[in-house]
Amino acid sequence: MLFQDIMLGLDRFWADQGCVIALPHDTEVGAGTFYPTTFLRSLGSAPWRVAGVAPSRRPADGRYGDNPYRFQYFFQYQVLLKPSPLDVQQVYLDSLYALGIDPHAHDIRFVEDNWESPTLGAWGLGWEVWMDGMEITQFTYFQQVGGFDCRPVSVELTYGLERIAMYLQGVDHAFDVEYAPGVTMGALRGDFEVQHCRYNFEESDAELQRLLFDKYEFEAKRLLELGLIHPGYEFAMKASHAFNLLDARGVLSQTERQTYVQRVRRLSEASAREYLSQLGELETAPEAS
Amino acid sequence: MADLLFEIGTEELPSWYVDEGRTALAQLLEERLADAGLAAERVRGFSTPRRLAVLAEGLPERSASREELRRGPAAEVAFDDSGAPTRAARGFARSSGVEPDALEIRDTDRGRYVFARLRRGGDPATEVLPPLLADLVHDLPAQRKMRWADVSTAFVRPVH
Repeated sequence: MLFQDIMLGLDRFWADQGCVIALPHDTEVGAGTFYPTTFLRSLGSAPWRVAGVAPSRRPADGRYGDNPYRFQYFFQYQVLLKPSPLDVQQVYLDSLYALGIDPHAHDIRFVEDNWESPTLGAWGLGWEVWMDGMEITQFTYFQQVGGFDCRPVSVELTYGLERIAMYLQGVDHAFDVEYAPGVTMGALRGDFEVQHCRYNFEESDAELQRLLFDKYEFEAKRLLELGLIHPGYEFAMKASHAFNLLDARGVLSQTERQTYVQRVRRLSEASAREYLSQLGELETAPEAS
Repeated sequence: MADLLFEIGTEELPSWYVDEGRTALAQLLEERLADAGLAAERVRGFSTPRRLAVLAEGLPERSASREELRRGPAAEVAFDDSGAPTRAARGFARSSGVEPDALEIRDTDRGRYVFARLRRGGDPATEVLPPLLADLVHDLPAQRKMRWADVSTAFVRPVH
């Protein structure tokens, strides 16, 4: 199955489950969880179902394309269902059929995985889903987001598309995956990956990123105070990416790193607070201790 | 005598809880049955990645009868000069489900008090068990519990 057919198959499947098929957000994020359609919409009481491809950037994870599984830019397929359906495990297994995988023909396991994002003030419990010993999905019941307890609880499903495609196509490197007929992932993204690795690890200007972080943080706070949640949260995402670049560049001491994490976290929490406040649910939202 | 099999169906438990949960469930059920006057002859736990179960064998069909003393107001405010029960005593008798005549005065280390003698137990196990088992699911100890959907119960993984 072509890489693009995997994405289209999941879109079709989750659209049929009542999900909005959302387009990728055009700000750099470390994971689909940062998307406003996940982070903000998992807060508050209103039901919500969304799915879609979430390109993600983790500068520190780049390996110049040498490692078959690790990249600084990769595709997650992100699903958020609120409240979490009682039959969500079965629905997830059904989604594998959309990828041409018969779950009965494979060893599918749900292995405990407790997820935490310090920069988002979020944590959840769930599993890594293993297929024949390889992790293909993260399955998480959100317990807290932005420092607030989730009521009701959302479930987030994150498929690792590259490795699923590698498995389905029987290739050993994500760059060998056939994305579209006659076009490999490597042809599409190889140069991009290698050049960004050079930038992230060797060429990015740490002083510029520090300055940008300060400016983004200031702007996020200012906008959130004006009640402009969406622009404000976008600057929080930009600050988070600037921090990730500094982290990849190896210029942060352990203490400094912690301070940056806390600064991003405060922006996430302020965004969550303002979002709940505008929903009129701040008073009823149980704040985590 | 009867046997009780109780199962909690869950989504995949963390591996550490498959053993821990089995032991905890058997222990807690054993304690709660004894407290309710339904002590079983033998209690055994079972578990799989998606299920905790407990088998209590040799369970009485009714809970054991026993008497319990419930303390009420001080004796001096419970009866007036003529020895008739005051409002305080009548209220205590009513809330204890006994007649005012049946109240007893007993000496305690804090003075003389009125007591009601309550009969407890003798209830069919089929009535005692449903709330007892529901509480078992709530109270089962675990290091870390989670919530799901809009269900108010917390457990190690969602219960079905």
